[in-house]
Amino acid sequence: MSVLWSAIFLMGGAYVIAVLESWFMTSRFRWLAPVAGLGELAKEPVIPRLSDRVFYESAPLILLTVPLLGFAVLPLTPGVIVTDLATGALFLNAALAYVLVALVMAGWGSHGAYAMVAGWRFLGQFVGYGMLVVMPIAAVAMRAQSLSTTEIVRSQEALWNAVFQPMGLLVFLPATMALGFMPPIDLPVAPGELAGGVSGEYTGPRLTIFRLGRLVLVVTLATAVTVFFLGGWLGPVLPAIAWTSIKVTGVVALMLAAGRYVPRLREEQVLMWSWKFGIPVALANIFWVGVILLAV
Amino acid sequence: MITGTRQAHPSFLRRLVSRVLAIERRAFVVPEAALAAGRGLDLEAAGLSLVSTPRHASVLVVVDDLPPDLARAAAVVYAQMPRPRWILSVGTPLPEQLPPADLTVDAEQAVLAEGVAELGRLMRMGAFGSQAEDFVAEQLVTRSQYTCPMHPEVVQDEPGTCPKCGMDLVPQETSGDSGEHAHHHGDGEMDHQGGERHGHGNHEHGGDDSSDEHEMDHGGGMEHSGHEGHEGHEGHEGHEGHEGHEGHEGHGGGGFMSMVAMTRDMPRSPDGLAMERFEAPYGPLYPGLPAGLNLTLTLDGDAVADSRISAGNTRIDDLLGLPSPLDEFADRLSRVDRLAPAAYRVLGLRAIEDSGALDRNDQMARHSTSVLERQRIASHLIWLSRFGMLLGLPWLGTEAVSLAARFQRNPGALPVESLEDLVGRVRRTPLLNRRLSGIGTLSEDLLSHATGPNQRAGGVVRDSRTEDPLLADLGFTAASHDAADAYGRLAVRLDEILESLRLVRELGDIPAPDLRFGSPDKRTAQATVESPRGTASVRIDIEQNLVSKVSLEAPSSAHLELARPAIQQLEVADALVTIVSLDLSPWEIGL
Amino acid sequence: MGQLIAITVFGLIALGFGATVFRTSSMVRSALALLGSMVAIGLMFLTLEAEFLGVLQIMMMAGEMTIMAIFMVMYMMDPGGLGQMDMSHQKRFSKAAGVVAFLAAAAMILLVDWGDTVDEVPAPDVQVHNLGLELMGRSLLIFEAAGTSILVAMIAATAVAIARRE
Repeated sequence: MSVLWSAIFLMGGAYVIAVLESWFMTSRFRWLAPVAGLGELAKEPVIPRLSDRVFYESAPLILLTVPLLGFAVLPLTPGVIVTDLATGALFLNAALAYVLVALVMAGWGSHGAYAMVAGWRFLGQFVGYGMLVVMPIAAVAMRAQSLSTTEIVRSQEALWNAVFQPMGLLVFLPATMALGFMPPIDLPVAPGELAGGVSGEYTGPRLTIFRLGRLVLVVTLATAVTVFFLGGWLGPVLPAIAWTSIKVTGVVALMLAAGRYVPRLREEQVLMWSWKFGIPVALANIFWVGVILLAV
Repeated sequence: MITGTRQAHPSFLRRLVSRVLAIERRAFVVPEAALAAGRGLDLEAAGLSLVSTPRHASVLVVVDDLPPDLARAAAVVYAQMPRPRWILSVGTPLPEQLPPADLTVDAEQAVLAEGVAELGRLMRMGAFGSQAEDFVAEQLVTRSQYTCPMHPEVVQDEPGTCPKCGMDLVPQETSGDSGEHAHHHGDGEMDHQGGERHGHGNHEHGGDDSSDEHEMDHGGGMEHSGHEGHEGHEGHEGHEGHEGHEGHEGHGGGGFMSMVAMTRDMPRSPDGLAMERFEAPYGPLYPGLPAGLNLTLTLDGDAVADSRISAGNTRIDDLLGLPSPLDEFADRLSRVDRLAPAAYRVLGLRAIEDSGALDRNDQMARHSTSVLERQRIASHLIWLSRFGMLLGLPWLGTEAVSLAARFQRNPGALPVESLEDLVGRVRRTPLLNRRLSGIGTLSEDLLSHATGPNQRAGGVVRDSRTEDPLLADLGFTAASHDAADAYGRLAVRLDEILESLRLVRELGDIPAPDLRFGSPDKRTAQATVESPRGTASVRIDIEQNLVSKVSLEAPSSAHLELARPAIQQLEVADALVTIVSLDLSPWEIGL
Repeated sequence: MGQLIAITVFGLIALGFGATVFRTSSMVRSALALLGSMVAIGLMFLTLEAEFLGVLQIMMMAGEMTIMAIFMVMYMMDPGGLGQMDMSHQKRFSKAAGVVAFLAAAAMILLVDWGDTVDEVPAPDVQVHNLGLELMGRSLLIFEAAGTSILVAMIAATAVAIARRE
């Protein structure tokens, strides 16, 4: 039953995100935007010559599978979670690390200069955001005294982590945006710079899978932010699932708004801010949480 | 299968998918969307979604006539679009390199919008057709030939042995017009990469290699033997040479090839490391760069190690059809630069004025000033749109180009509030200053060769308009900034939009004067205008009431020379920002 | 029984990817094949119900192997393997070293006293708890020493890189 509910939530989330994204990017609100994306299925699948077939074919599939696995450990309501692993938070991390692998494979496998630069750019971006995904999660797990995502939500009953450890949210939110290559940290796709970037050589069904994977990834990331920092399903009056949905939509809207109004960051800025600002803040956050937990 | 839609019976599922495909008409625009805006067309408002790679496009939209080199590039773009694909021609005949258009519409916004709707119908009906014809872009056809490593003059179509030395011939690929692309293969430093990453065609899209293998058997002429492995490259001396190191670099243990020895002769980055380099071609139809600009970046990682940049190969005499009658000269000159036609028309008229064949009067001066300032607003808006797209601000890309199109369509009504609002929003964009400051800074030396906004951004105010008494009366001040970087150029152009808007409003509505051409009293005449890109000047020779010789000095020619030093060692994104911020117009280069 | 089959399958997959590392001359393929091998080992951990270790292994290797790939691409001739350069060298020495290393590892496995097997695998959360105590107790010195030496190596490498520029 959990699987069914999770699947419905995931599909609904992907739809809403596609609508919102098209709205924020083109300033036009279109209910049919996500459906229109499926039209790509009618297009011919072109394989670039001299491409690395194994990488080229598997990259979109990995990009779709990985966030699905990550989503499986995120609770939507107290009972609705595909699998409540004891190491859930770590597992989510592990799954999302393979987004990097998928994009590098897509970039290298496409046999194109733009795609390859785009793939390696994402690696540079990873060097920036990588630690900033792990360290706030560590602090969140410290408070919950567990890596289980359900326990993490329960630990926030008194106070959301967003309030308890705001520094963690401050670095985690941009880091998830970088992980989901959302504007303004969308170096691997960079519309305008690299002609489609890593996905630039994909057409037809493979492109559809690639885009679907990206949408699922964004749902997973927004849900992760909700679970780790915004108290997941917790909230008064409304049913649990409603709170989860509202929070996830809010997080997505916030991310997309940043993408609309902020120009794309430079690779150099991403790295500089991650290491000179992000890491100290994340360390300070861990220290802060540790002190509070021991002292209070 | 519902995918790969060619020559298939339209089943229910297939019909459904084609309907879905028709919801969003993803279009790749050639030569570029900015030219459509210059003709008053707003493509996105008409219902097209613009994409940045032909791979993601369903419709090729041709918005202006294509000179031969762009026509060839457009054919490559079309060949790269996955089928089903359509061609929409907007008020222009298609060149012979492209197949006939599926739909031709006039260059008017209302007609275009209807045309796009009709296109949607075509897409619903035609995605799965029984008549499917192949299209092969001529310069993409590769052939396998066999040549002798020792005697390159020996070339034949069949494998065999060399008649001169008896060695086995090695295969190599040639493309349809190999002469033009010879550098792709002959580049010494590229040999090391074993042909990994360079394209063959004259692509506006690098990397995606010319002839693709399609999953379906479509009987096209694209698949040829000899694709695998690029054997042609191995034969080059490069790798042979490395084996030669073994002898004197022997580290014992069976010929260990030291990395230091192997990379000894490779070009170095400024940090002293030898790294693999590869070429990324941008242009001539790269969306985001002005159409017609050929930019090839040699990348060292993602830093620009070297670049080639060029544009234009038309002779001005052919373009203007010299000798030209005096009364037609200005109109002909206006066709030179498609991104600033009105400025060139004014330039032509002023040259004729200078020759004495046209009387000066106040109304003409006011009218031409007004036209020029309007052109400046439109040109800067189009630049702003291009810049916005590059910076990842799609709202700016869309709104600036739409405003420019509206402005062109209806010159009478000034969209004052929208313009001021747009400029204000750009100025308020967070982090824009940090994104652009210090990018593509022109040194003092380079700055003295620049002109127009590019020069004024560095605080050097040289603007021919300051000497104009009419503008002096209106209280004109030339905008300037204190940093010759991308941000400074943006700031100056934003200021100029507002200043030009003020001038146009103060000048008011001036009816176009009647032009009465007399006979010239000078053999040579000259004129200068401050075009949106800088000072443009022209010198004409007149023989028997005909313009017989024209020499033009266009701002973009000077700026093209600045681009190469300015992007050296920049990261790809910064290099593109620099080039776009210089606002080159390829049409006025190389004349 | 199912556990045995699963662990055999994952083991074979790990070996298969391991062999691929040496069979391809493309640097990226080689690095990602190594990643595949590491993931298969992570899955073996999971099969053995060592949940934390398995997930950790899978997580850490993704970034590390990809970063290794880009360094190989940057510094190797012919990173795509299309020039068909022979990347192997010192073959006889490598073979000997490989055999010796294999024998040493096998001897270790057979000779070391691994202690008694537990009857029941502790629950995953207990494992995490125990592992944490282990890290903060008996193994603290080892991990701190390893961490410090990596830090020193990183600083030294940076210093060397900067010095070369002068």
